[in-house]
Amino acid sequence: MKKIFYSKVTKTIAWIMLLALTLAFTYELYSAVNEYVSVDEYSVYDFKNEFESSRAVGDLLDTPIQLLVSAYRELDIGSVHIHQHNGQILYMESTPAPTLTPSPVELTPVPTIIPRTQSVVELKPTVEPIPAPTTPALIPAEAEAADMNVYEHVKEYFSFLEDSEGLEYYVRINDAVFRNCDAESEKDLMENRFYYLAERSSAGECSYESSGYRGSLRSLNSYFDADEMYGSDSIVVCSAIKDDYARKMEECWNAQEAVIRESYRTLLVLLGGMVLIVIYLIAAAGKNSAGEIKRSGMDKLWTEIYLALMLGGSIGAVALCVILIESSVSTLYGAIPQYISEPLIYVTAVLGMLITVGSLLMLVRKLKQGQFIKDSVCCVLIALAWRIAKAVILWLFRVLRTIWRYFARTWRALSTEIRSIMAKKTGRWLIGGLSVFSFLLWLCGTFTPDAPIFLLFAIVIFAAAVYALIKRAKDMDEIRKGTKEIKGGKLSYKIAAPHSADLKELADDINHIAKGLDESVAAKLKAEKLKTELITNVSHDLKTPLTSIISYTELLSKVEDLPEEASDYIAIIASKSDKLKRLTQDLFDISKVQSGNENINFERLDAALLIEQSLAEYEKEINSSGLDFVVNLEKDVYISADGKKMSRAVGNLIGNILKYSMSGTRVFILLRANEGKAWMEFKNIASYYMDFDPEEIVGRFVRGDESRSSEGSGLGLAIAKSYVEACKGSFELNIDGDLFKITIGFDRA
Amino acid sequence: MTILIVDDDRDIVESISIFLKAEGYEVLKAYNGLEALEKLNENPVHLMILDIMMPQLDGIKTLMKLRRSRNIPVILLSAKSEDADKILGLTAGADDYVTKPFNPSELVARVRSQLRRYTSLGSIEKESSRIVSGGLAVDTESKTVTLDGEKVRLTPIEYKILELLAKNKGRVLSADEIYRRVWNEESVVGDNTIAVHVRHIREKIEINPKEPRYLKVVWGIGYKLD
Repeated sequence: MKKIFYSKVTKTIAWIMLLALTLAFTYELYSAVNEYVSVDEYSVYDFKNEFESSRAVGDLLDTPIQLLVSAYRELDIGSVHIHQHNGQILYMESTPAPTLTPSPVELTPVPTIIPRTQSVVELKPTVEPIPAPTTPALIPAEAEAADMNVYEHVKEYFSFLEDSEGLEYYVRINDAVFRNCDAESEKDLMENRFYYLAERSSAGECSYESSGYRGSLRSLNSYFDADEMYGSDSIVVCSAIKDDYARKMEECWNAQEAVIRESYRTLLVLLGGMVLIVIYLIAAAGKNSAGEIKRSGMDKLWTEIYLALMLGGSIGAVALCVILIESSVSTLYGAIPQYISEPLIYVTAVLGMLITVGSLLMLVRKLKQGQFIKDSVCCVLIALAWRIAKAVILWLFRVLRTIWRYFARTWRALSTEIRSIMAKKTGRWLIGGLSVFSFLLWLCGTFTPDAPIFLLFAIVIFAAAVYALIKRAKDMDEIRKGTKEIKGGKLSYKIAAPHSADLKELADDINHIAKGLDESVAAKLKAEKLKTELITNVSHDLKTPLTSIISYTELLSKVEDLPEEASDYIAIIASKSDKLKRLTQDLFDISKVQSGNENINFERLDAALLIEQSLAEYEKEINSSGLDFVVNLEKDVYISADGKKMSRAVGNLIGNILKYSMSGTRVFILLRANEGKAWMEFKNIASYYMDFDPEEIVGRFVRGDESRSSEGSGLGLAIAKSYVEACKGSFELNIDGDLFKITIGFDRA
Repeated sequence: MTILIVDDDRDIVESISIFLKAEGYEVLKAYNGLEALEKLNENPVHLMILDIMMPQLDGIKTLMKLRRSRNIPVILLSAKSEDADKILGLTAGADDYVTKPFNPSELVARVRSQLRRYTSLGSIEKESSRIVSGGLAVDTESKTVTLDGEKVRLTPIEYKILELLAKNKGRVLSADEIYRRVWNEESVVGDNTIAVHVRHIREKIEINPKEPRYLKVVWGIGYKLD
């Protein structure tokens, strides 16, 4: 399952599906927009509209008043000429033939009610004369030429509506009536479901009335209102949509709405599918079929590049699509032809999706790899800047510190020097004299005409004094440095000979002391070395004859037919030579450790195991000793010590216990630990009266009980103590009545 | 079987030779390194006992010269008992290292062990079930342990511990780990079972249990088989 989830094949399929959905989405969107945007552009965006407030109705109702305003406006522009030239003919000439073709905007109402598939109304832009009986009869005889033109104009404009199928209008200007129906007055038209009535009195007051229609009638109201171009005409404009035509329009509109709603649903479903696929891709991104996070070359690009690609890709693609769709469906002149824009839209959408989701997934990969911030060039730059800033600050700090130290040292040397000069009588005299001299010179310089010479003299003397002072200060500094070096252990250091005689003496003395020290240290080292060599050699010289003694004793013991007494003597020699052997080794060991020549190899030891191992070495002796060993060791207590040395120390203590414990008593061997310390305790009851000092017993060759001296070298405790202390442990011996207790303490490791 | 004894102390050479002759070995004697090399060239020698501190040519140098041409077992004999000295000697090519003063019987045992290995175990069958460490061989198939070709009698637990250590040759195993892997349960605090068993094994396979050659106690850490 996991394998399928992360496999390349699944991902590729998801990608293909995503791009296919994108294509489908774009196609559906484009079709929907293309199909209906021209129909009722607001409806496309606003589904709360109802037929009653649709533009189709509004525009249709609007048409007569629009035509009227247009007619008047054209005339009004012309009338400027009339006023200027004071003649009707001029108006006729100056005004280009009135545009007989109303602008497309004005004509849109008619095609709006035509769904693309069925052509209900056909526009016939033929100009037909207004029926004879109406016009002449209605035009008053006293009408002026200009007014005649108004009528003419209006008539001409309205001629387009003669055959309009659904629209009926009734227009009355002063007494002239224009209409395309049998209505006797506006009242007749107002019986329809949709009508619109605008009235203007000769005084310029306007009123409006409408029914059925709920939208806004563009902004014509205000044109009709405010304009002075109507002069003192009283105007009545009434338009109405025939009821049966309105019904047809409504049905048609509803059908369109349904189609658009359907389109929207499809778009939503497609969008949902795309979102799901993207979610899957995000979840699966960055892992291979084994579910491992792998980093490829593409991942090394900066985070910002992908961010920019994602934002740029999405915004750019959407913007381009919107522009292309708008320009494609636009009926404006200069729009991109559909056969170019349509494929472009699809390409843009697919490419945009590819770039956007692709870079989004790359970002997701970065997040999963934990590289999002690290790959960011901004972060890298900030980190770099921070590092540089830190280095610069550190460097500045160091420079400042060096300068400060230099000044501090100079000042210290100078001040010490001044103080030491001041401390001497001659120094005080010198300084005092120099001050008085300088003052006198200054006085002379101020009050005599030869001032410059005196001043120069004063400066030279002062400079000389300061020079001498600095020179001394330098010498002092050198001596101080040398003393410090010698104190620090560099005994071979030699202070450079100072310039002044008194300081030279001091420097020589110090050098002398250092030399003496150096020699004595060297002598001590040599003595130490000799001592070690002596131990080794003596040990060797003792061991060699001992070897022979042991060997020949053993040979002797194998000789048969010896008298019984001789055998006893041989046994004694054997046991004594054996003891001598151990004693030699012990002596060698303790000399070595006490002279500090033993190498201690620190390791992390399990203290409980160490004691267990030592006990095992004495297993036989313990079992046959008649003593009851109570061993209680805490687990997981680790110390840092030399395993061999510690085993020897612990072994010695156990051996000691075996030798000097009262038979039948209990022996306690404990290991306990607190936070930072571990304690080993060895407690036993002595078999004899212990009348010695605890300090004394750990000394060399001291044994508690002289009568049992046949065993052991007497060095056991001394070795144990020395080894424990060499391993940086503490060794404490307590005697309480017959209780003999040794506590070894170590820091826990 | 001829053994060359080299030591500047004539008494020691004499005593060793008595012990070895009693065991039925032929003995040659030399009192410094040069003499030893001469004797080696003149006679067939199967093992050499060599002192380190000698006049003219010391034991280490003699050993290094010898090792250029001969492969016989060499047991170093010295009063130097430091680890560093032992390591130096064994690195120079010695097979064993005995410190003075020594127990003559122990030296004889070591001689026997080296000779047995040198002669009868010259070619070791390379079986995967055999884990070999010097003269010690653990056969995991037949569950037997041999020392210099001789069978060692171990209890089942002892055998298991030795086998575990042999399988992890050179690695230090803690007592807890041995307990867990041999008994298949967690160890108990204050229980020195393992330590005692190891001690017993050492008594069976080591000539001198206090100076083990094979099964070594790593104090405070564990045990290992070298």
